[in-house]
Amino acid sequence: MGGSRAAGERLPGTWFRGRWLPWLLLAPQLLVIAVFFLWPTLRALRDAFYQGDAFGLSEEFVGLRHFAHTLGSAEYGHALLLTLAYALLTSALSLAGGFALAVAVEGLRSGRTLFRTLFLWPYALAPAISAALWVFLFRPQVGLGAGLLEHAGVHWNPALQAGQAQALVLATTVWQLLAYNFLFYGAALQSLPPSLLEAAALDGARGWRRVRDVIWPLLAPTTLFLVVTDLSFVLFDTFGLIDVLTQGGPDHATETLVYKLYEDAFRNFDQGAAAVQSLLLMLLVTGLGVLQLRLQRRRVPA
Amino acid sequence: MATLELYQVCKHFGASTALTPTSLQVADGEFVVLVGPSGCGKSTLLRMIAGLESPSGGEIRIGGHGVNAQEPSARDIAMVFQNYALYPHMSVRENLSYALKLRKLERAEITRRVDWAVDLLGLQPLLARKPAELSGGQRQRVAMGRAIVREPQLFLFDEPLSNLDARLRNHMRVEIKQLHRRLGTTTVYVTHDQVEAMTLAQRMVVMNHGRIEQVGTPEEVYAQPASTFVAGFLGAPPMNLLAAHISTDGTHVLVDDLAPLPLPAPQPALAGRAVTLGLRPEALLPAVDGRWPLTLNLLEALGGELLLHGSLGRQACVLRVATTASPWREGDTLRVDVASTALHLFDAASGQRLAP
Repeated sequence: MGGSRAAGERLPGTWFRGRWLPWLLLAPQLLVIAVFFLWPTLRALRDAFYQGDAFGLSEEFVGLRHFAHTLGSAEYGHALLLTLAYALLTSALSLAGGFALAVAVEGLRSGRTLFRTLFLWPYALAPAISAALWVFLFRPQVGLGAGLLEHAGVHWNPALQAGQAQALVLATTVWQLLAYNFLFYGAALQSLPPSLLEAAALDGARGWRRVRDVIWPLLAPTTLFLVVTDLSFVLFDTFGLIDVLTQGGPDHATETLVYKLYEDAFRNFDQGAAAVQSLLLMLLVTGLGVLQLRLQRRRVPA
Repeated sequence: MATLELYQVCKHFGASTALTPTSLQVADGEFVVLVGPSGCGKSTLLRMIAGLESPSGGEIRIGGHGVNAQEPSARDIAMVFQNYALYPHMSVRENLSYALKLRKLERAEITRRVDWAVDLLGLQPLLARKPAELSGGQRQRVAMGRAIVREPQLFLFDEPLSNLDARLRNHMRVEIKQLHRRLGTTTVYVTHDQVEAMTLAQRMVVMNHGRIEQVGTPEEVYAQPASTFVAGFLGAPPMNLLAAHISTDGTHVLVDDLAPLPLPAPQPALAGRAVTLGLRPEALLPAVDGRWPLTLNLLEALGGELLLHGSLGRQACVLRVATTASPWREGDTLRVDVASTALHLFDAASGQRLAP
């Protein structure tokens, strides 16, 4: 990052006489990028402007019709709002939770390693697997969590109740992200200069004041990084989680952008709409990435 | 302002001992310097006074009150850290006023104290800046400002000048001394730099291996080092320490097969004993009819003075001569005399001072 040289400037000792060797070394990665990124992207770009017939035998150019149709549809608007709410809520909750847990564990006199290990486990699981765990826990009538909820007087049936399905997806996502945020906040806390915290102790900053005035501002770069990472995780990597938990139901109540895209592409076979949605989603992630770089660059001199 | 008293304070980290039971009294308004090589326990001691470490045993009293059980912030002390430990996200003004805000002082009082410190240290042009926008010396000054606005009973300095370049270090040293003169606050200052210790201290505490080797004014410690460690630690170049023994009648000290050196007073109790003879570089004087021959190996010209590295008998030795041009050349043998009042005798085994 910091020490990278301007493009075109050669580091001493990295001179290759042959022209083919650098390309050969790059080839595996370039191949992966071409097959899994470039080709699908180009394909989506093309599909967004064409309409095929039901049997895939002919296509016609339709201009911006798919875009107009998608952006004008109430379902897309619904999915967009739902996704934004989902992303913001999960990120906020897991950031606050991860930070609080990290600070709490750092303040322990003993047992830090134990808690660090335990809190990390959810992160080690693939989203689909953690979703499967939650499905077992919250299956009506048989799940342990479901039983507790019933006991508390909640009529638990996420397959029918939209709010309950949303809560289930939210809880599972937060549970998983929390571990990730805890890991990063924990590492950042440990790398704070001890003398700063000692200076705070001498100044009389204790408990909540210490966290609010000293620790939280010092961890701002970590928070910035995590906000963007969390948002992109929620926006793009939660497909498997939702698929296992609710399949976007009941009645589209948990159908986020990425899940709707999948539905349109592989259930409704609406290639054009799916292509448009994937392009919009890509714009969103690119925007997030640019935002992160901008903010980081502004912070680096400090 | 207050006194500081330590009674049998010690510190263990697991099985290792950082500080053996140590007692020390610091008078009201006194400037005491803890000096020693790294790992000698001086920082541990300072951190226990600050409350950043808790002692394994013993009692610490500030102003007559035991503070062992008190939080650092309740001890009414201020500390300046080696790396300054300024809050990077706060401006200089916020850094200065933060502790006062936490103490819930009135706004007018905070402004008064901050303005006073700003005036005293010349921080006016820096107030709106963040620590990252300051030079090392400026950060150091802000760190001192943050300490003095609290008007504490006790100042603690933990190697505050180690991160500065030599020129700035000299400058800040003078500034710290002047600051103490103006404020008169009791101060404990930790350093590994003997020049800082000699120039700043009203009383210095030389430490080694987790215990106090000697306590005294810089003059006392320099003139009468209590052990070979203290003798070798202070002065640049340090005192020459030569293996020797006392003659059987206790009147002379013998180094290798050189001419016997008379003791200023006979030491019958030491007769025949193996000792370490300590001679400061300036206690050896070139003289045409000098007692001992010195073979010159290396000359160092420091401008106003000359360092002569050579060997006396079979032992290495350094002389300091106040002259600019050297009449000698490397490889020469010259005669040197010893001012017999300037010799120090230490026990050869324990290194403890014997006489005079």
